[in-house]
Amino acid sequence: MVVGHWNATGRLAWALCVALIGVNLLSSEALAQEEETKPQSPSSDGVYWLEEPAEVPYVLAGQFHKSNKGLDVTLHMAGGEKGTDGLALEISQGKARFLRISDGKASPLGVPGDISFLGDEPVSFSLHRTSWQLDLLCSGRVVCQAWSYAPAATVERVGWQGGEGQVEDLRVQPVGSIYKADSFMRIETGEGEWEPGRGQWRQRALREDQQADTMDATKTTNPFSYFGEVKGDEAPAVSTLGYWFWTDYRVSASVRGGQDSVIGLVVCYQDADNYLGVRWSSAVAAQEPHTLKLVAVEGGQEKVLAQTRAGFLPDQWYRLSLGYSGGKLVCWVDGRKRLVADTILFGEGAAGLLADGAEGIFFDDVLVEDWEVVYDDFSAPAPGKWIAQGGDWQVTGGVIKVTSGGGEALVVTGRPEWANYSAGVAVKVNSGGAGIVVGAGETTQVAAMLQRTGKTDRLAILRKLGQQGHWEELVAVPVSAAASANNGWRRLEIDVEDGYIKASCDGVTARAFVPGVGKGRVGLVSPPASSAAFDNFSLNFIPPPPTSHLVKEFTDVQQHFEMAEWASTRHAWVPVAQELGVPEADNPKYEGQWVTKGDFHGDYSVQIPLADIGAKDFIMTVVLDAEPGWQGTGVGVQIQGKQGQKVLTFTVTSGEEKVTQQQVEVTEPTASVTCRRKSEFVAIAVDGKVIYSGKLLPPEGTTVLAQPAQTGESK
Amino acid sequence: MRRTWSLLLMLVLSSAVVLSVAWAAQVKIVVEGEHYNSIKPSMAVGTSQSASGGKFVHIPLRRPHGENESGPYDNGNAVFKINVPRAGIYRLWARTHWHDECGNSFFVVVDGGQPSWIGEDGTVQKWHWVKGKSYTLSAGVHTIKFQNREDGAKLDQFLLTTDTRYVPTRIEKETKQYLVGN
Repeated sequence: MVVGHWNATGRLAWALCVALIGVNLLSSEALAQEEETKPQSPSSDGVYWLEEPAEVPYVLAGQFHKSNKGLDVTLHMAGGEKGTDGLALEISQGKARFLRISDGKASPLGVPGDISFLGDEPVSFSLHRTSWQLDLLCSGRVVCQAWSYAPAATVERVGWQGGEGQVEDLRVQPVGSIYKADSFMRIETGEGEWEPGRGQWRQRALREDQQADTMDATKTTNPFSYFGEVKGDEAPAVSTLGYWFWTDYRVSASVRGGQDSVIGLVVCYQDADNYLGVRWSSAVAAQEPHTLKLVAVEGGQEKVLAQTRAGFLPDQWYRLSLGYSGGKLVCWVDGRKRLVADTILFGEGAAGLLADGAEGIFFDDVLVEDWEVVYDDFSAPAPGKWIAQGGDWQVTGGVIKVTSGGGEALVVTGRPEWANYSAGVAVKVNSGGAGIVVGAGETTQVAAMLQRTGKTDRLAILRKLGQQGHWEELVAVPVSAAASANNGWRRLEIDVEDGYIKASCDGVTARAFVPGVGKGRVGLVSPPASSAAFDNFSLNFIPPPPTSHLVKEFTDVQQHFEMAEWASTRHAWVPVAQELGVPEADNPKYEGQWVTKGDFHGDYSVQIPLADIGAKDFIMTVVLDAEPGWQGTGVGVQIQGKQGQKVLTFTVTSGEEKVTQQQVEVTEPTASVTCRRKSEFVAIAVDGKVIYSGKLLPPEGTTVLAQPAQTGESK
Repeated sequence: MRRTWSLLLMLVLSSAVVLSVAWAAQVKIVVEGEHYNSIKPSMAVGTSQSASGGKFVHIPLRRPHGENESGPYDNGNAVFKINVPRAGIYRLWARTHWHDECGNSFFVVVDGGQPSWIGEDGTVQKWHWVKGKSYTLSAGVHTIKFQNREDGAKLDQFLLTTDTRYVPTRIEKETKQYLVGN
C-alpha cells in the first residue's frame, strides 16, 4: 500500500475506509448468521431452500413476519424426488394447514388451525416433524396438526416461499430420544445440568438431612437429594432441565415435602411465568390442603385444568410424575394415574421441579423420558391419521365406522416402529363384531375381538399369520350383556408386550402368549357382515421395567454401611448366606448363590450376557420366583455350554418337575439370554428370539435367585 | 493519480474483508473419539454397536471403582488436532456414556491450557450428549485433549460449534475436513 503525502480529501478517504472495515467486522457475526439462515435468493421454483437438508425427526424453527398486507407463506418439507413434492404448511388468510404435495398437486392433511392472532411484530414458531406427526406451535400454543408416516432418518429439503410477509431465521434443530436421569450423587456444589430459575436450589447429603438421625431406609432411595425452596417474594421456586424443543415426555421424581409446602413438577417450561405443571399440597396444610391439581401458568396467571382431593403426608416420600403428549397432561402418584387434562398451550419446553409454600421440597431420582400417548375422540375428520386398508371408513357423528364394503374392514394408525403398548377403544356392536388389531401389517397380527352371536357376547384373542392368512382363535371368554346405561357401548382394550397379550372388555380378561408379536401399527377391525362403531381411541406405551445390574461394586457393605439398608432396583446382589444369616458351617451349602435386595415385585426379566461360548464347560442356573433357600421351588432355567461347542442346552424345570429341554446353536461366542416372567407366563429368549414360552407360574412373583457357574466361568 | 489508485485499492481491500466475513456461516466441527492423533493409557479404544462407527475411547472401569476420591489413577488421554476454519467462540459438546455417578466425567484441556471438566450429570448407562464449556479459538490448528478424571467414562464423539442455539441430540456426521493428520 502506498502512503504518501495526503491532502484533506485523501485523509478523509482513509478515515472512511478504516471506518468501513471496522463497522463490517463488528456486524460480521450478525451478517454471517443471517446469511446462513436466509438464502440469498430463491431457487428457480421460488423456494428459499436451506442449504442442508433435514433428517426426520426434526424441528423447523423460525419467525413469521407479517407484512401490512398479511401473511401468505408456505413452508416446504420436500421428501419427494422432484420439486416441492412432500409435505407443506400453508399460512394464508389467517389459517394454517398442512398439505401433502404430490406431482405438484396439494391435498389437505390433518386438522387446520387459526393463526389470525399474529400481530405486526415477528412471531416465533416451531414446526415439529416426527416420523408420524406434524405440529405447528406458535405464540405459545398448538395451532394445527397432521399425520403422515415417514421412516426415521428420511431426509427432506426444507425451505419457504411466500407471497406476503416472510419467514425469517429459518433453521433446523435435530430431535432425538429424550432421556435424562439424576440421583444427585455428587458434590454439593455440583448443579449437574439443572438450571435453577426462581428460588434457591442445592444438593443435599444424608448427613445434614434430618433423616440422618434415624437412618430410616424405608423413607428414601439414597442419601443424596436436591432441595428447593422459595426465596424472598418470588414464588414458586423452579429448577429446569432440558431444551425448548422437548415434547412428548414425562418427568418423574421422588418427592418429600413438609406440612406447609407445595410439591410440584413442570413440563413445557417457557419461562418462570409460562409453563404447565402439577401442584400438590399436604393433607394438613394451613392453606388449600388435600389438593392435587394440574395447572397452566400463562403470563404469570395460573389456571386450574384439573383437580382432585389428595394430600401428601408430611415428610413421607412419594413418586410423582407428570407427562405431556399431544395436548394431554397427565399426573401420576406412586404409579397410579390421578389427573388428566387437555390443553393447547405451549406444546414444547423443558422439564422442571417446583417447590412452593413455607417449607422446601426434597427431590430425588429424577427421570425424564420419552412418553407418547395417542387419543382420538373422532370429533372431526383428520385426513391422514387413519388409513383404510379394507372397507370404506368415515368419521361422522363423533365416531368412526364402516360405511360400505361387505368384507373385513380395517383402518390403521401409527407407525410400524410402535412397540409394547396398551390400546383401547369404545365399541358398539350391533351385529358381527369389532376389534383392535396390534401389529397391523406385520407378519403376525393379533386382535382383541368382541364378538356378538345373537344376544351372546364373547371376548376372543385371535391371531393371523401373514397378510392373507385367516384369523385363528387362541382363547375366548364370555362377556356379560352390555349395560343398558351405556347405550350398548363397551370398552375394549388390548395390551401387547413382547409377545404377551392381555385383552379385556368390561372387566373380563383373556391372556395369551404369541412370540414375535409386540410391534407394529394399531388398527380397528370390523369382521365381514358386521355393524359396529368405534369411539374414544387411546394408546399408551408400556414403559420398560427398571433395570438392575449384577455388579461387584458396593457388595462390600462394610465400607458403605449406610447404603446396605437402602432398597432400590439398583442395589447390589448379596450372598444368600449373608442375607439369611446362616451359621458359617452351613455357608458351603449356599456357595455361589446370590440374591438381590432390589424390589422386583410382579413381572420382571433377568438378562444374562454370555461370553466366550465354547471356551470352556459351564453351567448356570437362574431360578424365577423362589425364596432363597427354598430349593426345588419356582421355575428353574439351567443353561449349559461345553468346550468347543457353540450349542447351549436349556433345561426348564417347574419345582421338581422337568418341563422341557432345548438346544440352541449360536454363531457368535457371545449371546444374550433373557428369562422373562410376565404374569403367569415364562418366556426364554436367546438374542431376542423366543425359544420357549409357557404358563408356569401363579400371577405374583417374589425374588430371583441366580447361581453362577459350577465349572468354569462365564462372564 | 497515485492517490486515486491508492484510494481505489483501499476500497477494494475493505470490500474484500466485508465479503469474506459475510460469507462465513456457523461452524460445526464433529470428531469421532477413535480418530485421535495420539492416545495414552489408560485411555483405550472400545467397541459398541451403539457408538458411532462402532467405536469409542474410554477410561476402562477399574475395580474397586469409585473409592479413590483423591483423583484419577493416571493421566490417560486422547489428543485430537483440529483445524478451526475461522475464529470464534466455540461451545463444546461430547457424546458420552457414564458407568455411574462415580464414572461420569473427563478432564478437557484445550491447547495445553488449564484443565476443565465435562460431565458430572446424572444420566448413566446411556449414550447421551453433555454440554461443556465455551472456548475462544482462533483460526488454525488446535489440540483438544480428553483426559482421565474418572474410570468408567466413555467418549464416542465430540462437537465444537459457533451456533449457540444448536443442541446435538443424535449421532452426528464427522467433519473430516477439520481433522489434522488423521
